[in-house]
Amino acid sequence: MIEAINLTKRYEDGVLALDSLNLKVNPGEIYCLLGANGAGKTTTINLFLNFIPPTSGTPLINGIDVTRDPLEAKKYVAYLSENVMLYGNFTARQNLDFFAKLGGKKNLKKEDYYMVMREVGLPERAFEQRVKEFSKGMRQKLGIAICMIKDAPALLLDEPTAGLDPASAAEFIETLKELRRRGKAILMSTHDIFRAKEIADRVGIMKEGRKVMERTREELEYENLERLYLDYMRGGLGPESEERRAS
Amino acid sequence: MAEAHVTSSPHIPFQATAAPGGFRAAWIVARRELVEQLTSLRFLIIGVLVLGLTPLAVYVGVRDYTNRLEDYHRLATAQQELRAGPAGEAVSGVWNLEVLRAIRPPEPLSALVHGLDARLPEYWDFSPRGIRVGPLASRPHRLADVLGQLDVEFLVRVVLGLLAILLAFDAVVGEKELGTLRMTLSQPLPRAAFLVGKLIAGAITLLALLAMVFLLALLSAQFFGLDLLAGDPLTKVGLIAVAASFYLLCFYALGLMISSLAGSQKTSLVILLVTWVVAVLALPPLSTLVAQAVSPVPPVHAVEAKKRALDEAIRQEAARAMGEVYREETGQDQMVSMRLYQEHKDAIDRRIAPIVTRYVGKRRQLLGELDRDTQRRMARQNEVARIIMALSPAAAFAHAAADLAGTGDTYAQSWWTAVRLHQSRLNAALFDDPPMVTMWMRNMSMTLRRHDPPSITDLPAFTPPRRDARAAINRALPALGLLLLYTGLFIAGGFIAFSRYDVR
Amino acid sequence: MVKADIRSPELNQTLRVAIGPASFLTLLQKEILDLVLSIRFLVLLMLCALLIPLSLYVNSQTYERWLADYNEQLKIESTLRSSRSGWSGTRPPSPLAVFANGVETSLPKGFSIQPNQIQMDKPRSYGDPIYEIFGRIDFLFVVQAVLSLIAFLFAFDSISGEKEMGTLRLCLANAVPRYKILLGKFAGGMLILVVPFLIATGIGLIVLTATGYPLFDHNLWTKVLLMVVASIVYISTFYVLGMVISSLTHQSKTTLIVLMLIWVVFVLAVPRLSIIVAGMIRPVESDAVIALRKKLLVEHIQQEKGRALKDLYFAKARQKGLAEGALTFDANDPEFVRRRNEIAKPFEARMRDELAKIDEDHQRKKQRQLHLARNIARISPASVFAYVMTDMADTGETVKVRFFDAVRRHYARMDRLVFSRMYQDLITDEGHSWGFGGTLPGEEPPEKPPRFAFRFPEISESLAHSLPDVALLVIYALLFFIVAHVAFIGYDVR
Repeated sequence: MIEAINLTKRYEDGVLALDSLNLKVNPGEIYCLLGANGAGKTTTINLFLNFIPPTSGTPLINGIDVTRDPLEAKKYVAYLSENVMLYGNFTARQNLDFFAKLGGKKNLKKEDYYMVMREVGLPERAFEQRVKEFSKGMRQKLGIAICMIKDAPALLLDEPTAGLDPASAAEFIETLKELRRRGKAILMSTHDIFRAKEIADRVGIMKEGRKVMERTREELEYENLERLYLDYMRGGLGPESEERRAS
Repeated sequence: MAEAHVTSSPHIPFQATAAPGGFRAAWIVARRELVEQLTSLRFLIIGVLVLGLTPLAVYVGVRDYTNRLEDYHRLATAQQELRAGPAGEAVSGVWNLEVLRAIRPPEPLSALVHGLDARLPEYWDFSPRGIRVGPLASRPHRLADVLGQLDVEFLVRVVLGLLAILLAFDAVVGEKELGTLRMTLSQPLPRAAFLVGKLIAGAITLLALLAMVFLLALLSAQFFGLDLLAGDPLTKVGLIAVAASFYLLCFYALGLMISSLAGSQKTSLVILLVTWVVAVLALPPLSTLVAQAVSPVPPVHAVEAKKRALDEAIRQEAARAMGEVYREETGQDQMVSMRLYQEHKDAIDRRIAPIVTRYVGKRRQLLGELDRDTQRRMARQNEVARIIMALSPAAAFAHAAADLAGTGDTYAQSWWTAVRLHQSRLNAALFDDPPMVTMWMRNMSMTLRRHDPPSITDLPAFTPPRRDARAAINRALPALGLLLLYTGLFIAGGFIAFSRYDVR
Repeated sequence: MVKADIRSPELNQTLRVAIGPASFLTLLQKEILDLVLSIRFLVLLMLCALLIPLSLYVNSQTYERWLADYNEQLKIESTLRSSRSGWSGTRPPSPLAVFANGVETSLPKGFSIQPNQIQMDKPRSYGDPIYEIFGRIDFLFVVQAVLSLIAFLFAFDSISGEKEMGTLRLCLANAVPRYKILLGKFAGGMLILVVPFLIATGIGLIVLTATGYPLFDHNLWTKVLLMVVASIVYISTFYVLGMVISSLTHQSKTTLIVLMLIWVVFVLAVPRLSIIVAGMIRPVESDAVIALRKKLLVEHIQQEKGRALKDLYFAKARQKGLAEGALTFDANDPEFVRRRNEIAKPFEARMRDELAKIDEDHQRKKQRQLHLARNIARISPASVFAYVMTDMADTGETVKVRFFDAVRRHYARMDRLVFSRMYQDLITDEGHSWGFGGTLPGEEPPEKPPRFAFRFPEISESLAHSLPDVALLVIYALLFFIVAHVAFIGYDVR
């Protein structure tokens, strides 16, 4: 569903933000992308959304080349950005309505919106409340509600649990699990090793634009993710080759 | 295309083909933006300000116009009476040329667009020495020099122009800083649709307010006693409103463009405000200043004084020459007597004729040269000013509005052209063949009657320039064209800038 | 700076520490650097460097033309026959109009008088229609409209912007009193605003002297200095106002929008509205109406006088045996002249009085309207500043009043010395009319009729007149600073 083939991005000033990324997320799978700031996680997501063009390589959503047919590809993906602000003067429902319509949903009624907002755990009183009065956690929930109402098969989440208190983060994880159960393919970039271990089907670690490691959930039973992460970050270990992984 | 195997949420079926088309998406964006704009503080405050000031501005404009109209009627009736009197005698003397006067009616639309209406002469007099300019149609108010003037055109150009900027400056960069731009563009709609939506929303907001302002202006004018709701004036007002729409759209589009180029909302606002100050406030008067420096025009009265002096000199010369002739023919140098003149009339007249012709010719040449020089300078000055002002869409709008209202400088120029044309016609018909001349001998003078003066009906009538809507449109065409050009330029620029915009 | 000894048991040491409040200089340095490096400073530099010298230069060219015109007029007047001198007069242009055009563009350049009539000339700038759509740009305009806006652009994010960036919290986490921060911002901003302004003005003044403008005339020099000082006070007023609004809002975007609206009201709306409102509250008849009224009065009394004199003239005609329809003013008959004077003088006196009354009444009404407009306009510092500048430049209301007063005084003198020794009789009888005019025999006008001379007010006079407005400007600045202080003390920095 979400696939990157040799995705590379080099900026005009020469900085290599992404170096030949290969990645695949299948339906019903959560893939967590870990890495330091500037490692290339957000760049990856931006490439899938056609916010920037790749230098080489192909980003695919549902088999559609995002660079060739972005409008078609965007029908199949839902996006939650880091630091969701939304339109402060509008209510939660109005924000939801706006993005739902843009996503192509017509003829949705108030009840439909309320239902989705309930699903993500927003309190009833917040439905018609102006978003500028929301806490970060509530905004995040509204953000995921926007993703859910689009009901697209692929989800791109950029640091969704950053800045959330533990309770809200836990709620959020539950929602993700539900979405996985419904068969969504979820690509999530994060710093939160704890949550990643909890929810990821697969984990990739990015360093300076390269994916240096990838592990499945089973493999992580035997390896300490924190140790791995820090080792890679401190620069001791180089990128793995495919053969090493297979063995 | 791989088929996705998904199970959807129980109540909302997944439809992949239901993405909104470009136009529908633009309308969704527009509707949201429209609600945001109409409920924003900036719109409400400026809206109230402008709607409150409009009746006031119209009141002043109508009052000034009615005063000038009264003056005009007074002058016109006085001239009617003069003409109804003994027609022949009306033009006999050099000093009763009031009957030839060209009186200019004030423009009713000056109530909305002051323009030059109060600064053009009330009338022009025609004389052997050339055109004599009458007084200004109205004396500007004492404090207006220190503090400036207020009319509907000013409200639109300055205040509504400011609103256009305040609505547009954060349209793109604001949403980027907010993060909502990413959200929107992650949806399946073409980029251009976003900008189109913003454009539509701004257009609706600004044009709705503009319509209210003009409606209020028309109703206020009606209330204060000036009927602008009939044919010709109404058409002109409609056209001015159209020009204003383009002007506001132009500034809004500029705002969108800068919004897609600036790095932050603050930068965008600062750039736009400085542009507004320069384009709306500073550039127009600066252009006239520079034009004055590049091509200075001597003041009217200085030219008239010079003409007077020149004419005096050559007239005295001619008068003395005529006195010589009288002396030679009558042999009399101690006394001027009509009886003696009559006795030698034929001889004297015959010899005097070439003197008069020579004097008239010289006068035509010298004074004409002065006039032409002044004209040339003035034309060049206007040209320079217009060129510099072409840099500002605000100036283009001001000119277009004034031209359409009949208070612009093109209309003023056409009055001057008509007046000059009439003067040259009168030269041919009357002044170049004076019915009476004065001769001087020593310190005695006598006025000789050469032939009967023509009656007023024999002289060509003054044709004032056309005032109808079509003529007004013709005059306003260059300014309107410039305005349209700017609008198109900024809209195109906005799209180009936005297509390359980094939305992350 | 406080030196303290901190005893640390674990380390068994005494640390000598110097704790002190952040120095004002540090704050000032930061403010200056911050502003200098922004694009706004560049914009300010460019605008000042462009507008100020350019407007000064072009206005000085215009002034030179006006001066040449005035001198030419003087020359013409000096060559007039003595019998005609005093019948007209010219007003010199004010040199400082280069800085503030004021009334110079609408005040008549001179006048001409006849018995019972004062005719004002057109203004010097008459005939330049293209000016009139947009108004003029002069030093006053650049400071009043452009620099005030720039001051707002510098001040708008001084408080609210720092709150947004989070740096305000960081500052206040140190031992620095709030008022010092405010003072630092004020000093820094003012320095950044004033230096380019002074440089540009300096350049402009140099350009002026290079074109021969008499800048170093003692009177002029002081006035120019005062105008520059007033400009600085004005700019500071707006800068402080910007800080006020910044400390009352929490988003720099909001601050700027509110400031723009304040600017429109203060600089554009109030000055114009004050005239309109004053005109509505205290309406005054237009000059044209008054002129008409005077003309009708003159005609009316002339006719009455004519009726009273008719018999005398007809008697004289019969006595002289003149043909039918001929009347004459017999200057050689002293009895005739005496009788004529006896009948005519009371009418003429009455005419004089009533004309004077109409004038006085009209003037008084105009003055009251003017005062009202001026007071209303004082709501806005921009109007106050305009009044100060035009008063200093001798192009304000005072000069206008002075000129008209001087003309009236001159007329009164001419009337006493010349016109009262003249006669102008109009006799009508059954459709025919005869006009007689000239100097009364036995009364020769003085050899040197009075020449009109107009002098600009001394600097002390201008100062005295504009002092209340200067004080008001300073009061505004202080007031705004106090409000900014109070607002900032209670500002929520989170």
